[in-house]
Amino acid sequence: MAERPEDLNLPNAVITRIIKDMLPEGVAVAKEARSAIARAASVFVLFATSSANNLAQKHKKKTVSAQDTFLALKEMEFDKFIEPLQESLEVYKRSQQNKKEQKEAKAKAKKAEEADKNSGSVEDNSEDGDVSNTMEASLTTDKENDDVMEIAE
Amino acid sequence: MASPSKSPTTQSPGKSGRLSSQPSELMLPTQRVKMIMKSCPDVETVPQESLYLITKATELFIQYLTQQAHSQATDTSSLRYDDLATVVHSLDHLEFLRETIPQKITWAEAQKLMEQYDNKFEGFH
Repeated sequence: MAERPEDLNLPNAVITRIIKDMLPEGVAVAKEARSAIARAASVFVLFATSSANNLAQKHKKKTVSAQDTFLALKEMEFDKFIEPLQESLEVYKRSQQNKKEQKEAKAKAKKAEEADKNSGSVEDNSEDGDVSNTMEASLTTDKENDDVMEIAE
Repeated sequence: MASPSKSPTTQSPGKSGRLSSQPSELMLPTQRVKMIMKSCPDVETVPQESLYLITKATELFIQYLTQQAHSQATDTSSLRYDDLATVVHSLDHLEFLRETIPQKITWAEAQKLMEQYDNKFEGFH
């Protein structure tokens, strides 16, 4: 459960960016319009989540699967999103897989290096560490999110 | 092994501020979306795939809403609140937004409506 009202809001800076990229250059976006779109986006998340969750529960499942999400979007009459989402998901899964393999390869190399020289790795793995964290199921330490929130605040 | 160069797929969209050329990259922060999802009753764990999809779908939704509102605006040099309200009240599948983005009327229009309402029921007072 959210503790504060702002927890259910998406960052204004990102929303403004998405809006502006959709419109021709020079179109002025009223503040009220922007905040209406931001509210609508939050409501969309809630609606899509609850629809997908209802579908999952119908099949006696505890978690919302990708399948449930697609079906929910269909129910909400956002069929047009389904194909681009499926494509994006494929690309995303592949890139996650690549990151995972890269990480494993590096860990292997690092181990071998340490075993040989016993002098520690010269590589700075901090950024990769954060990136690889995003691919784990927990999604708790997403450095990119922190950066976006800083810009927004 | 030298420090690996960052491939385009690992760029943070928030930092660059530009719409990423990679279609799979997300602009909205997944943690925030996850918080909203978890505020739904009965939602326990959110699998990574679903979180990705809902976040991406929300980005598409923002684009869709913006485009629809602007396309039917009388003054296309700007995007105003009323453009949003109009489109939400004219498209059926945006019905879920009608309370979030209500149509506004002026006080004069509201008064007129009230007068009409009173006139309708004149004989029943």
